Amino acid sequence: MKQTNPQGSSSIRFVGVAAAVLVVTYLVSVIALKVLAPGGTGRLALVLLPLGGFVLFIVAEVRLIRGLDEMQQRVQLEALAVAYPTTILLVFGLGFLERAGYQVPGFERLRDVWPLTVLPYWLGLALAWRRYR
Amino acid sequence: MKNRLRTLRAQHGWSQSELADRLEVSRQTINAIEREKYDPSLTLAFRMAALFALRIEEIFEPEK
Repeated sequence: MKQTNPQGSSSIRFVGVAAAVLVVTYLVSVIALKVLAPGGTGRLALVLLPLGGFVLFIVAEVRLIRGLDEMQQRVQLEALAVAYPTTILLVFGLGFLERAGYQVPGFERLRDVWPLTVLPYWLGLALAWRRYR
Repeated sequence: MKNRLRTLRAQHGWSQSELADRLEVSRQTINAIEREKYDPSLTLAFRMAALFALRIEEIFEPEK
């Protein structure tokens, strides 16, 4: 993705930094929970620690997308238009199956469904790029 | 929408990247416009017209 505004390269760097913060806070959270095994408020704080990284990543992504040109922004919009309802469809589908007593292997817990929030975006992005290529 | 962008770019001896830089858009956007897969906004169409010193309707032609 080429940034077309003057702050383009700084936006890409910001996304990189945000992604690094996200990964580091996640790893710190997972490792500290295992090693220190804190209880009460400390445990809660550690569990929620990666959310700060997520918020930073969202801010960086919005800044990056604002710097794209009009067609690239259209591609992102179309990717999200595919991804958002697809994710809802998949998550609701899993919920309906669970209600009927079926457990889809690999999606037994809420924390297992995160790929369903990422993969539809990549699918949407591929479809949108294909359209304008 | 049909357009003459590829011809005009060739007349000026510019690559897609050079034209993209002059219009402050990505090369992919220029490519998509030339292949008539993407219709630019009015703002971008005016920038193209100004760059080539033409009127918009001399670059773009609506599908009949």
